[in-house]
Amino acid sequence: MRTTAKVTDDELDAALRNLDSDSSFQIDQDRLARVAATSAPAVIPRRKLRASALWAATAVAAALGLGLAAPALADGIQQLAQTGRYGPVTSESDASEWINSSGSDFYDYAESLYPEVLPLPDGVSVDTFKDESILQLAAIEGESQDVTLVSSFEHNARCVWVDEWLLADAAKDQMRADGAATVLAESTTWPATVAIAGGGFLEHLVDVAEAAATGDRAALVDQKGSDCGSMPEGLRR
Amino acid sequence: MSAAESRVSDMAPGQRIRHANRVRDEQRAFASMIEPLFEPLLRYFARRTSPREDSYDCLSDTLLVMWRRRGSAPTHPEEFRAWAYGVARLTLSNHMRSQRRRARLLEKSRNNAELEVTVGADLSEVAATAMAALSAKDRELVRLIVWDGLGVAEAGQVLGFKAATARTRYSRARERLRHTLGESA
Repeated sequence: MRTTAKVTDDELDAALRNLDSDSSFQIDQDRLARVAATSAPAVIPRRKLRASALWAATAVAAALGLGLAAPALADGIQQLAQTGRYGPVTSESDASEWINSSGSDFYDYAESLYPEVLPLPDGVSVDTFKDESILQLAAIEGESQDVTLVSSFEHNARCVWVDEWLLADAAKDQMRADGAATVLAESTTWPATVAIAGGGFLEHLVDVAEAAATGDRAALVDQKGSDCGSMPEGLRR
Repeated sequence: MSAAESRVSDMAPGQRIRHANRVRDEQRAFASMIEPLFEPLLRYFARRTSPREDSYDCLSDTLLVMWRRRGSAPTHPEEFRAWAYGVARLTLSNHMRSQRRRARLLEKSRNNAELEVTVGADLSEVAATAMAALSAKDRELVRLIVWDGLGVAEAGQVLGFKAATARTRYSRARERLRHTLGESA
């Protein structure tokens, strides 16, 4: 007659834990931070993550509320968006003022920076686009320069045009796709984009525009996936 | 006029900034809840994917889904964790499906990743066999509890069981494992 030995809870747990392969898995903390920065804080434009590792760290910290910015109310004194601090000039920043997104007048100040000329496709409301973009910026805790705020408007608009091109291409509407390709080409000269497009980003945008002009759908799909993950939703009427 | 327009554009400036602040506060609160789960979720995937490098992609997909669905996330920490693992489980399921598709395309007769993990990790054969004999859901219930450190009710929630059902199934699964291990002793 076959008998079975008594296995205690501890022995059973130990045997099960021995099956766990986790002990040999070493977490790559840098990679984990990048994943977190690009996936969790969806409000952070990915272009900035690509352009600067420092920004990536800032984005994570901002999304996790690690307090890079002063609170909106300090000692009972209401803070304004404008800080009175400027620069420095680098390939990814300029001499413009640093703006605190916790400032009580941030929304109105950001609205005042909205470009006078920023084309959007038919069916995309300027007001909705502006509002959603500003809300996105307000959700990024900390300080950004004027030029960064403007470039975020430009970045979102560019993403809308990438989307427009993809929609037109899917609908086989060549004229509409050509129109989108033209704006994407023009977008490489938008002032804030040019001002802080360091690290080869401008060249990348030129490649995207050329891909649109030559009908390279895969490149546009890739652009949408890699750079436009944070595009505001619900922009089309 | 779209819903988004009426929601934001119709607000007075003061309302809009309060709205923006509220959105930011919600996002910060959500971020503070998911941050402690980054590593546990990564390990969850590392235990179940092959190659393990895929675990980072799975985590990325999971975080994106969680972020998109943050409006429906539970606020209680334990319920939130179970919800997060539930999202991770669906992500893993999608990942395994596409991996199997790739494997078929490559005409590789690979078994699923969980077996690879089992074989490649210098394991107790008997315990592995005993685990393999459990139903897939019971096996995952045991793993979530013993490997990932979830509570029984929490792990049950991930798998869609009521707490009482989870406790019963976990108890029975342990009994079966204990019996198999005992027979081999």
